[in-house]
Amino acid sequence: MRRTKQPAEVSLPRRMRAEMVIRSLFIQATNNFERMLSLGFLFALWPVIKKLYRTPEERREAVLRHLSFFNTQPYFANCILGVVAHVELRGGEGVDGEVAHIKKAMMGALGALGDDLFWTGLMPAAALVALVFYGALPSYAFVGAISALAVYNVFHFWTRVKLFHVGLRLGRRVTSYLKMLRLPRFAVGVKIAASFLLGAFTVAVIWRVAHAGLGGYGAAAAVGIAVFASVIVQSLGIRPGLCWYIVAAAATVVGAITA
Amino acid sequence: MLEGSVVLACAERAICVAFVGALLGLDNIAVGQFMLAQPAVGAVLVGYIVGEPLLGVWVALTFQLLWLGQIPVGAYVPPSAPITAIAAVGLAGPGAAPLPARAVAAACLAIPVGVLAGRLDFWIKSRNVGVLHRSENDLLDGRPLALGGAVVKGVANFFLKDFFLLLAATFVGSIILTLTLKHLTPSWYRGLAFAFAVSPAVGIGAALKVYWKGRNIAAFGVGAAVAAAVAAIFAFVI
Repeated sequence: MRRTKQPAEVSLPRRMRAEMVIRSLFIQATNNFERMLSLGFLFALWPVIKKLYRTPEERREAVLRHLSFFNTQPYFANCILGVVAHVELRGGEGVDGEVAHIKKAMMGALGALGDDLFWTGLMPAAALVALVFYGALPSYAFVGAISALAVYNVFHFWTRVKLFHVGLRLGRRVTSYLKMLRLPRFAVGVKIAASFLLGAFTVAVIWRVAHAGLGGYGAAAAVGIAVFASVIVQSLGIRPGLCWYIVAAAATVVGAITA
Repeated sequence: MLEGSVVLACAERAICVAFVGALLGLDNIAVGQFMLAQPAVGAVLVGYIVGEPLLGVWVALTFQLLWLGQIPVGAYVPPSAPITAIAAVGLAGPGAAPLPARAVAAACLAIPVGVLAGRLDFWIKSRNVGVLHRSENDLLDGRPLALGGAVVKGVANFFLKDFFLLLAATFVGSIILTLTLKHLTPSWYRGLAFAFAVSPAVGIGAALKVYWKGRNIAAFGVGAAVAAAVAAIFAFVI
């Protein structure tokens, strides 16, 4: 059954768009192993469903359409949310198939891109901003924490808000916009920046150890040995937690004997 | 002998850490992902709240990078870095032992708590299948409020899981550490102080395993050189 009335144009009031973005913050609240983010996605899309479908039958059909398996990176889910809202608002025949096709086509690609960009790129890079600060000036830790939050959440909110709006405006043509952004290249750049910060953080840790009474060369040697040991032990397939126990135990024994 | 004031102090700290930690823990999966739960922010925030910001900083330095690049494959579930870090701050307890000894001992106990938190996240996601089915039935029966209810239940599940885990672990663990650490000899304290100083290096090793390729290697070298130059200028000026 199709909905009774089609909208004149693909747009939503500002308040409704804001509500959808806020609702999308809870997209993982009902994350489950059967259909992953599907219920959270429907929760974020609900203002559109409520606006378009008035009868119980229409809503039932819409609910079934959006409760199919859905999994992607949570920030990039907003892009798909915008595109799906566009398709729903545009209406017409074949909405069912189009929604399913869009979700299937976009969630895998955006999931991989989002994981790479945010979880192994921007998140560690922003954290390293704080860590460099903590290493060098631990007494001003709150400045480091605020800097990290600011750096990360600028990109985070841009992704959530901007891509939702672009998806809503362009519909399926959002792929051209995403291509234009060259996000995979940006992810490579972010990892280079993270590596730069990791180098600075290593020196900051040496600085801390040197000030703990070991002197510059002693500190560099101690940190170098610990980093090398960590890499070697993890290369043997030992997990990082166990690796930490090994290095901490060895350092405790060495420190107790040589002090 | 366990004094009542120690138990009371540990209980106060456990309740405070469990409540704040469970709120911050929501940011890890259930709500937002603003980076508040990450050790670099969450541990420092909890450190400020319990009045030990330097403990929070050390925990952040140690745990932020440790599990970078660890993904759940097969039966392996990586520990929850946010909960490990928050638990470590709580576990260090209000004891009289020096900060380095308390911090390293707390980190030793916090890693299994993080492993358990990671497994409980899996359990919650399994439980959420039931939430999905119930709300699907309610929605199909024309009860749209079920959608909001499901989200509230999902958020509550994640909150309660972290709250009770942190409460139990922090309370019991901080009492154990308060009772045991005071019996260590000075040489053990010195050993733990050395472990305290070098343990962030393990996280650097874990991060290098992820980033050590292509142009990242040169960027690492440039970053180290720039920081060393800044440190040298700073030391010279001082």
